Amino acid sequence: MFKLIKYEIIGKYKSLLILSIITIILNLALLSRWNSWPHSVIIGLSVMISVVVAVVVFIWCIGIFSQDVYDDKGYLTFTIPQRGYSILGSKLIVSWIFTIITNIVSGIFLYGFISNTVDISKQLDIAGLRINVTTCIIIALWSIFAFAKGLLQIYFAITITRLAVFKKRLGKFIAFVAYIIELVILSVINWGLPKIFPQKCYIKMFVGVSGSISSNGVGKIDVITKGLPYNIAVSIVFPIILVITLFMATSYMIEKKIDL
Amino acid sequence: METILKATNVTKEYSRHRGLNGLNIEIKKGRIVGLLGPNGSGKTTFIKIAAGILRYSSGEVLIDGKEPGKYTKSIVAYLPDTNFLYKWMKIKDAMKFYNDMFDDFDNEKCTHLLEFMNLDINDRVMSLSKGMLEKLNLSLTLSRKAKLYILDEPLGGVDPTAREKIINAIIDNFKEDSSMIITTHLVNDIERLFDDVMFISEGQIVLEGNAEELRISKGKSIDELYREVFQ
Repeated sequence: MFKLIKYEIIGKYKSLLILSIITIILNLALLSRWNSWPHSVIIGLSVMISVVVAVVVFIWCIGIFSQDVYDDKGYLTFTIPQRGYSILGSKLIVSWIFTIITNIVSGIFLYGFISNTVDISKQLDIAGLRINVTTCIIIALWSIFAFAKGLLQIYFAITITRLAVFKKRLGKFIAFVAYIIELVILSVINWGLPKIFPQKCYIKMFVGVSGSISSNGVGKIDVITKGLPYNIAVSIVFPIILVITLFMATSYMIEKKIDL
Repeated sequence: METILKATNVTKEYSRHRGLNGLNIEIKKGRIVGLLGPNGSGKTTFIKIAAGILRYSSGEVLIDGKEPGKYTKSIVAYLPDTNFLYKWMKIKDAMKFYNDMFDDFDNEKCTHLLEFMNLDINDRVMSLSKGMLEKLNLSLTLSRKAKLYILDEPLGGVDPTAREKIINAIIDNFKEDSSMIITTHLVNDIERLFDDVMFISEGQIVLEGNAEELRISKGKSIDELYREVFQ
């Protein structure tokens, strides 16, 4: 699997480098306007750059898989003696690496712009709040998991369509339709599950709530003192089952069922 | 003689037609087999099944006693009739890739083959002509010490000089302990290589046998026989 990762990275690192340099240049251009433009405008534009970069990288991540399934590149990828889970796993890991690198580049500038506009720690002190580091780590890990879930949903739609439809162009369109159908089905499940399993858990973003926030009305501070409510079935159990199922199903199909 | 590949009653159904129609093939160890047929006869369909990138609808395919999968991919060296190398690669990258991915890849042999084919390892894959690309792909495929080589149209779109080089490379690098399937419709150029030939039409073998015996019994070259069968 690591050899596959190596070649995926070698094949894309120049594009990744160019994208990162463009992100840096655009953010440096915003930095040069720091004293002449309103800070809110600069932060807004920096957010826009981050979003555009994230979209570009996400499209690359889809391409890493779809090119193997639809293009002649698949003749190489699927004739090497590797299991389906190694091929799929390598695509996901490379996607994570690309996303983390670009997020770090965009994130550094965004953090710099925001922290020079608002003293976050001072504001938290005034409010009597301390950020729960454990929760932050869990959220970061969960974001990586959620990213994999999103990609796997797309990879699954691409693979299942490729098995059913032979024509390349039609296949891509039908893969999109299959993805929409998949989203609708998942939305229905997400809507129905809390009715059967209403159990919730609370994730506390802050610890040591005191000062101005704690003296506000009880209804307003519930989220801060008690934490953010999450339905256990919809937010934790179902996504984990879904990711495992999609990973196994897609791995099986690309190893045993793909027709090039 | 040991059998390296055995296909029994293999069918492949597409949505509108049948690619293979009860195909029976047996390839013995140490033989070079010509799988001959016109376009659409089922050659590439069968080759893809043997390479593990196409599923068959019914029947059985066994390569070294195993169904196509991870193991068979490790002992089958497959040359498709497309440009399958990654676009960003230079020739040396393709060599490294094969070296990393296939335990049976012989780097030294590949270097010699590339020299024989007059290919520069610093050339980009995308800058190569059709003939040069075919030579590169063949060099990579033949540099594996595989049990079964599958060459799909190795002479397709290649000029006569390059064809001769490709044929010579195949002759020089074929080992007695391996087997080879070559599909082609350019029979005249390559028929001297074949130990056995199989004529395929509409997904079935319509004529097969030892190449030399067929030449003697029919009083014709394989090329002439091909024209007679598929006229």
